Amino acid sequence: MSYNWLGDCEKFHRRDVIRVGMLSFMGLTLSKYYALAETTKKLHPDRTDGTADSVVLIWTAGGPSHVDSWDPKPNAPVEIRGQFNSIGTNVNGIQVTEHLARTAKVMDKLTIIRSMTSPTAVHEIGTHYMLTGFLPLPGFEVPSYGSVAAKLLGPRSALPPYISVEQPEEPMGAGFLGAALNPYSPGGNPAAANYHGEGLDAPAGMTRHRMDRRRALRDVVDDAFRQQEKGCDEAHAVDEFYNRAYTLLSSTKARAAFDLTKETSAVRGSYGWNQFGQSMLLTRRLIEAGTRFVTVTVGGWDNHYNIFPAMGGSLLPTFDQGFATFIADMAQRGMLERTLVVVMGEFGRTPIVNRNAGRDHWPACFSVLMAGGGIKGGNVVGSSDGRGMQVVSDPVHPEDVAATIYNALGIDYHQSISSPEGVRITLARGGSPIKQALA
Amino acid sequence: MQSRIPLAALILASITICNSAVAAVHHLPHRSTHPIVKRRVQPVLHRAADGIITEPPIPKHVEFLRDIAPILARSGCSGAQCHGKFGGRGGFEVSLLTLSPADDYAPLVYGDRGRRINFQDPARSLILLKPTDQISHGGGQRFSTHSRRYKLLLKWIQEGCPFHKTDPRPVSLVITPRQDVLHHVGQTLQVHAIATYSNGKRLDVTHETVFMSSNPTVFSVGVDGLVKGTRWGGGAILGRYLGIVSASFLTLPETRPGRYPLIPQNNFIDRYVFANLKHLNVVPSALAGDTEFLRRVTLDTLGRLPTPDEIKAFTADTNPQKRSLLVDKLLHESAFVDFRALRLADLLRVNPDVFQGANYTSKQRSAELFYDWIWNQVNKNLPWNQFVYKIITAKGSSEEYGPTNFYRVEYSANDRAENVGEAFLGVRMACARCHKHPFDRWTTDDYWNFSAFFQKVGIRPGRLLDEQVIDYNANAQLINQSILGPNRGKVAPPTFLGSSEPAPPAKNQIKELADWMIAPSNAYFARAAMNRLWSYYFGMGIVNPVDDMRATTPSSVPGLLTALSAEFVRSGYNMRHMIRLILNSRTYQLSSLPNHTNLLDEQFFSHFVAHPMPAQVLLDMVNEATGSRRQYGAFPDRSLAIQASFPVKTPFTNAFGVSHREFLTDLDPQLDPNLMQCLTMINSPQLESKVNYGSTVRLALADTQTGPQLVKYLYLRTFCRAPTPAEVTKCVTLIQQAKTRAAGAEDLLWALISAREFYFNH
Repeated sequence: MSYNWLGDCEKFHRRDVIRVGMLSFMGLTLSKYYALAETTKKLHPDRTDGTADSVVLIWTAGGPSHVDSWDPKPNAPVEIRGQFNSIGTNVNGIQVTEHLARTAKVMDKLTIIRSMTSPTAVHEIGTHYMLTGFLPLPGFEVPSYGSVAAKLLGPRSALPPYISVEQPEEPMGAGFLGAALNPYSPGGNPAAANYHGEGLDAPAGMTRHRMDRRRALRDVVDDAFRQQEKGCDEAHAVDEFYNRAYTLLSSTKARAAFDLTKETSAVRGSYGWNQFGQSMLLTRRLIEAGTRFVTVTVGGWDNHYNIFPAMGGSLLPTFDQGFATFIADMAQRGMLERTLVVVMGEFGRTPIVNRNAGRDHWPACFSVLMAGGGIKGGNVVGSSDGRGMQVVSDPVHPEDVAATIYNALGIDYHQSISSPEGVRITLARGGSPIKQALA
Repeated sequence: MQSRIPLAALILASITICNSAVAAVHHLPHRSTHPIVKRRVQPVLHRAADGIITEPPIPKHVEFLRDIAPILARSGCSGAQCHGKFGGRGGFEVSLLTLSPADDYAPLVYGDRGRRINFQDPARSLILLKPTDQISHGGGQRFSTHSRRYKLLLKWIQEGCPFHKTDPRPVSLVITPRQDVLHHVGQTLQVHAIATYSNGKRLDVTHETVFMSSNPTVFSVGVDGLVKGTRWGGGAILGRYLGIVSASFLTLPETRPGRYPLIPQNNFIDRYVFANLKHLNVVPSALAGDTEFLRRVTLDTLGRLPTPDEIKAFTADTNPQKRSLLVDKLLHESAFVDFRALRLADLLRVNPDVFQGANYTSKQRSAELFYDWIWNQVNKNLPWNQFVYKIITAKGSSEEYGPTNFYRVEYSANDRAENVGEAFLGVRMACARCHKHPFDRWTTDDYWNFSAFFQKVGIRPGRLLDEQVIDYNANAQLINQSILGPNRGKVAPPTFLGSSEPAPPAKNQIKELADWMIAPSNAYFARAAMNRLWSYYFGMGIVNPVDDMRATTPSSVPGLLTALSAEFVRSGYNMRHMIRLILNSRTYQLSSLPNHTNLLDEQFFSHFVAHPMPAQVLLDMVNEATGSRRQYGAFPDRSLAIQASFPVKTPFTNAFGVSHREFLTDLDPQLDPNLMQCLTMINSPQLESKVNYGSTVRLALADTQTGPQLVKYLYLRTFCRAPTPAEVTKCVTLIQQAKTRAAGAEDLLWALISAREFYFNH
């Protein structure tokens, strides 16, 4: 018998039905099983009350230069304008840098926010602020958007509700909400030949029958302990996670989401044969298979030295290909409509090129991109001055980004959540959804 | 290069503690079912005949601190999402949660050239029009024009907004009753907040105090301090009035008819725990059986399972003293030292990655040196006070004297102070870095003046690459870097925590600090050690979180921590003696099986609460149970994971919870169950090879003939008990479906080690 319990979901479902009959023998009565299934269903609605069911957060780590990407200043002197030309997009009057040519063709689906502002020029603090809506708080850790969404909305499918394609940065974690809501990170490089999700593949030689038998045995030997779990939350949580693990492992669809070989090489090539491109393709598959919140990290944007060869040579072209293909693919599949896509970094870069032909940290004014679920297409929010130094109109703060993300998911961003110590934080503390960005 | 904004300023910007209680709409019930508690309270309580508080009358003269500032707190104006936010909102900024009310006068009256107050037409003042929503207000209506708050503000403006330096200030707060008992679910109790002012006057400020419940599943509290019992248990009602916090400790016993049984006691620990349980009318579980106890105590002391031979010998032993004899024996094994050293190395964050320097070999050498030093002190059972004294006063080279590396875990004075506060004193001061701690007594002066001691710990490069030398720097001074503190920007004088006077001058102020810390009169030192020690054996502290022992946090067992601390001091800070007492207590030896009265208890120690063990222990357990080769990191002379000087990041230990010893939150391992644990258990090839190729399965197959024998063998190696007949039958049925006997044995072994009964201590 070969290891092939991915392939035949029909058979597996039949076995599931048989297993339900065996459940009373394993300590779970049928009525309890259905009650459980029912509550699970209620808790985890596929469709949210908001404008999006899922969120894709593309984290451009290091602080990308806004002047050299989304907010070009073609009329500024060369020490500000830089070496790149700006080009028109498929929306009249909106220009981006020449190295975003593919993205320019999907501009009708995007909103550029050119009036993002944050008080901090320190990477760690800015990262924390943008990824949680909070500056770092001494004493306790604030949860990320994905962890909050996972807690309040639960999973949409057998897949974990919150996945970080790359190893997550610390502020992408669950903080005081507890490790259970940390993102699942499949590990590895999706562009690698033997890419697979960590912990998702059974050890060599394991058959489905054997795995089933082990699960049944586990239920038997664990049963005595169930009597005690009533007085122990942690013990109960273990049960919950085993159920989720088996649900994930037994869902062909969920596991197959990590298998990029299911895509034709033409499709894989269109996203770009590099880590970011294949991460975006993986992200599309994960959203398709029902992940609530996916974070993709693409680094390298901290260009204090020689910014132009770095950005023009690989950073922008790689991003352009993977991102534009992703947007077009999502739209073509009808998935963009209910998926909020956010592209952001911790700050922008100094509009004046420094003596090392680089740009330094600039949080006072930078750009964020949004698309999809509930976001207007072909749209620019706010503006910066002629030199990209300061916000001129409609400033947007990190709390507003938080409110926009929560609001899109139908989460009341005014609500407060409590740390185990009883300290309460308001989700989008004072922020409100970016009105001009909303469709 | 990069624009620098002071970190502290940014951090303050993000303080977001929000008072949901403030915003909650609350309707007072018509009647209290509980007669107001008969206690002598000098000030007049504003209450009607039925005990429900009523609005106090408008005073003859309105005072800013007494009458106006509390309105900012209670109406939610000073919440972190509104004007309490750093930078304020709509140009109006007041102190967060009105923690420093005197500072709020200026923005209110003079801010923006006095536009908020209209002396010509007081009723047209912005501070009245906005909160009553007569003109557009982002925060909506906070109170009506008929409210007492409106009348007070109006009168105050009419009187010319008086505020004198000599106005009495609140100096202390008491929530009355200080402690009380509710008798049944649904019963209500009105608590009162009584403030004492600098002029000695006491005043009922219930109406202007913000109330919170420490345990909302047991007690709910309304905005006006009306408490309602929702189920049996205990908790505290916290009140905050102008930055001062106080608590009332309440219990609600289980209502269960029948006589309360007599519970035997082994030592003074049981006296406190069982007296509290009797008060709550909750009956503790039965004494754990011999095998249950043996497994629990062996795991807790040695970090391993008892062997089948040990189980046999212990159950066969008929000596009535066998449990305490066993405890004595365990405390003298070298594995006991290993496990204690692991706990302490977590607490002290022994980890080369946190040291400054690029040379990993050097940093690793220093970490090893630190660990070895810890191990040796535990082995000698060095009294805890001396252990801590040696760490705090450590001087010399990081390559030569282990404990000097404690000052390489955190480098700045205030981070070191926070670390020492949490690790040795059980206080978390971080909030007071920028502003007054909203839930504890600490002010910014407390924080920075305590930190000032550690500024005197000098650090300089040694002769070797990345060697650092710790010395005493008598002249070093620390500047108070708070945001809202009155002494911001001034030199912080070294001051003992909780003292109002700077420490007397001394030749070496670090030694002076260490002497203060370990003095028997220190209110924090012994308690912090005992609370954390307790948590190692019960999975939680007597006060929780273990390193955040505020005056307002309720203790699960009144008196117990004080008694333990007193015994600890009396014994000469003898840790092994205290561990022996804990393990010999009946409380520790109670079964984890709840009875019908204590099912809901996870707080009062009425039954043993099962909890997972640190990942290093689990890894050793898995290796032992499967009979596998052990390998964890590159520590040549040590083979067990619990013996490692510092944690090694492996998929297994990452999933199951080790302290990575990187941050202040890492003083104890995170043991929350998670999805990755289950995926690792199910799919890890490493685990699979341990199960399949470890010696246990081979030995089991060789030593047993029948299915039931095999099941019994494997149960004993993992669960340390014999299976029930029903378990045998079910297991045999399933393993017989396997292709080979070996495969069946492997499957059962996998199931056993993935089960909670294996990897929880219970």
